[in-house]
This record gives sequence, C-alpha cells and structure tokens, in this order.
Amino acid sequence: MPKRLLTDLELMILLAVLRAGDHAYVVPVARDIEDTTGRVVTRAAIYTALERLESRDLVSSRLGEPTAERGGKAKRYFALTRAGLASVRATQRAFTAMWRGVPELKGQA
Amino acid sequence: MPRFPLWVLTTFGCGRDVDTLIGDLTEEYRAGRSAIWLWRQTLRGVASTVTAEVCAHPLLMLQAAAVGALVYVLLLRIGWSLYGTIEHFRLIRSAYTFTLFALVGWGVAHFCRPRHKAAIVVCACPLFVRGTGVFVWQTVCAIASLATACSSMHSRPAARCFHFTVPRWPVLFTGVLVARAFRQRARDGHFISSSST
Repeated sequence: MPKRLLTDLELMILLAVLRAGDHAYVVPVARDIEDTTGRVVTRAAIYTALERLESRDLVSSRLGEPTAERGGKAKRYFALTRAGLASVRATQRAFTAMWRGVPELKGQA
Repeated sequence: MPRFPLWVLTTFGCGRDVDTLIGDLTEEYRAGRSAIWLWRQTLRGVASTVTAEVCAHPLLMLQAAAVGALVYVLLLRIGWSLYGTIEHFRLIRSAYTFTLFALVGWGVAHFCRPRHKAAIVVCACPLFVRGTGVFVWQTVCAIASLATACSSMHSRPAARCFHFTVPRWPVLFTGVLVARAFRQRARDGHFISSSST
C-alpha cells in the first residue's frame, strides 16, 4: 500500500492519461474528464497536478514537435510509470474496500 | 486568435509548462471554444500557477513581499517630498507612478530569481487592492510597469533598458489616458489623502 492515496482529481487525470494511450496530452485528457464525469477542469490545474505527480515519479513526460495549429507550441505527452500504475491500483483497492459492507450502496454500480 | 489573454499568460504565468499550456489553449480556441472560455482559462491559469509557486516556496514569497513593501515605502517617501513640485503635471505624475512600480517590480524580481513572476504577482496583489477604486490610473500604471518588470527578466542585461522604455510605451499611454479620465477624482484630494497614509 503506498504512503499516500491519490486525490480524486489525480485519479481522474491518471485514468484519462491511461485511456488516451500514446496521445495523452492535456487537451484530450481534459476533454475526457469533462465528457465522462461532467467536472469542468482548468487546463493549468491539470498541468499543476501532473507536475506534482511527475515529481513523485508516478508520471513521465516528453515534449512533442511544435505544430502550426497550436501557434508553434509543442505538446507535452504524459505516460504512467510503473509506480503510477501501482498507485492507481492501490487507490482503486482502497476505495473498493471502503465500498464493501455499506448496505445503502449495495447493488449500485 | 486574441493576443491579449495569451500575453497575460506569457507575462504572469509561472512554471515549466506555460508554453505548452498556451499551445493547448490556442488549439482548443481554434477548435471552437469561446473568447470567454479562453479568458477564464487564462486568469485561472495565472492564479493556479502562481499559487503552486507560492505553496512550493512560501519563505521566498514572504521575503519578496517584504522587499516589495520596503522598496515601495522608501520610494513613496522620496516621491512624496517631490510631490508638491509635480502635483499639477499629470504626465510627470503618471511617469513617476510607473517608475515607482517598475522599480518595486525590478527589486522583487532580482531578489527572487528564478521565481520572479510569482513573487511580483504576490507583491502586486496588495498594491492593486489598495489602488483599485481610488487610484484606478495608478493600478493600470502598476500593471503595465510590473508586466515590464516580468518581461525584462527574459532579456539580456544590455537590452533591458530598451526593453523597458520602448515597447511598453503603448501600455503606459493607456495608463495615462485612464489617468486623465480619473483626474477629477485625483483633484478632489483622494490621491493626497490616501498616499499620505
């Protein structure tokens, strides 16, 4: 079990990065979170969270090529590290364990 | 593509990913996002990145605030002694205000490199709160001069003087226009009474 579980935003971001696969940069990650959960997220907040996760070695990043449609700015692609994947699994296990034994939530997905 | 929000983000946004964030916002704006959305993302982006810097380096930001307050009070005292001479010259008064805030910004920026942007925003917030309402023209001058201080840190030392005086004159001119619009309030004595406190 890791020392610290992920926050809800961190967990959503990491799951969205996983879902985006090789093309995980902030635009598809933010859209995925907004479309799936309905939560409006600031792009800068995603960068801040990802930088924090990178400092904890849960995420790695690389710069792509600058493109004209982005005004000549490069994309920053993100990918989960092995520790990041383990952290997501640990958080999922912790939440699932908390879910069990609550009669009010029985049968609800 | 609106340039002003991106200029705000470039000038005041902190951290490693400002350039990529600007690229993301450009991409989404061109894909159909509204100008209001762009402004919201820009202002929250500045707030978010500055907050992250402040939380990461709280002691440095406290020192920055102390240096900013010290330089501001010292220069205000010096300027106050000259105020009787320049009271009736609005342009000179505006130039004085611009110089005052620029020197505060520079002092803080040089003290807090490489976290100068967050430090300048931290120092500017109380000045803006103090200035808004009574000194709108001062606030505009302050934004212009602090932005100059932020931008000047990117240029080489030899080019700083040019960078400071020439390209930002349109912004200062806007400040002077606003100053003229609010001259009546200044004549009513708001400036004198609040500056002396």
